[in-house]
Amino acid sequence: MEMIRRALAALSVTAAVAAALRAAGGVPVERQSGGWRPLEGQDLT
Amino acid sequence: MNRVAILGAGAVGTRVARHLLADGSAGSPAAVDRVMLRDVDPERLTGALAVLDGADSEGRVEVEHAPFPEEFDADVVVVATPRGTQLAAVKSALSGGVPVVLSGDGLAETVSVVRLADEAGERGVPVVLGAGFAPGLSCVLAAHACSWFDQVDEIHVAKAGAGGPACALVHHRALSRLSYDWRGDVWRRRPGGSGRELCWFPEPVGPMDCYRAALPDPVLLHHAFPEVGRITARMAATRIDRLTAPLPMLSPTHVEGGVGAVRVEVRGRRGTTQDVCVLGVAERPAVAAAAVAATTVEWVLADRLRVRGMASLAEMVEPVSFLSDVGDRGLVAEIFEGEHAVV
Repeated sequence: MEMIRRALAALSVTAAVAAALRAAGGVPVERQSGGWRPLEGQDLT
Repeated sequence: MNRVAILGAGAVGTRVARHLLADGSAGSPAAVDRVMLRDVDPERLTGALAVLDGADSEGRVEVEHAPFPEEFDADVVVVATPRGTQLAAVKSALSGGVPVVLSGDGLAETVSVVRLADEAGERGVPVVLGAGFAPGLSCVLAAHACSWFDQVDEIHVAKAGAGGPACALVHHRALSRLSYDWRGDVWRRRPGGSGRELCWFPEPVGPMDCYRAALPDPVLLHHAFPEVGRITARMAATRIDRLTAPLPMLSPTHVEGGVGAVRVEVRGRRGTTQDVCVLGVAERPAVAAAAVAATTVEWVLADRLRVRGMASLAEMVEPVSFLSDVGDRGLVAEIFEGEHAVV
């Protein structure tokens, strides 16, 4: 019984930490290089 | 006197009508004199008429609701109806020898329609498959990108967003169905919702996780580019989308989705080097699909299509001219440029 209680407690703590991290969000992914530009001129030949 | 029948007065069909009524100049062979709008829902027809009500469309729009006549009194039929109804519509138009522009994006229905290819070829009737955002514009982008390579090894299509409610339902189900990827010389079946890949779409959509889904793009692209060894398609989805995909749609869809995007990545050889080309477009999917479908109708009326039978837009149109024409309707194709051109 004690073991089950500990396992449930561990799972609860894990879930709480995961939820907190998820809610806080991570570092947004920034583009490392490059970008989009319209197709024009030589691109349309 | 060109007449166009538009089946489905939803987010796409209504906009196709608006494009055709607004843009046709009287002297052009592609000018549309009358548009016949057909839908089973009288409320939708009323809404479409309200949208089309204007000087440009005065007396040029007819509406039809069930029961529909057997034959189409039209020069082109645009099929923009929900899934499950497109095959019957294409059959009906084919039997009357009327060219068809189909803007469907469901895999199963596209494959069903493809089975009518022999009949379309024998009759010499153009049937354009996937004349929408993806498939549609994505196929044209792929064809354009492929023209820059000496040898194409891979084509990867990704799309984000959905148009009207019918489109949203197809997307919802696609994530829980098997996807078909062309690899080597066989079709690989993989579960929808698997194969996560971060794809960077044109702004404002930006980066999104994309997954395998039951999408028709590989089928259409393989027909257009049988020599390409690997063709895949993915769609953007959230965790909730993937979790709820096997269930019925739990909440009513929006009238129309927000800004979506398509992204086409082509890998191959240019000269002696391996290279990658990434093209994309960001737009509301229903708006983009309508622009593509309306442009396709004009190409049909002007007899500019390359194939008198059934094919996708990648085979039917000359990509540069087509991209220029849809550009006039506000769809701006973009190219990704980076240090290594890899996103």
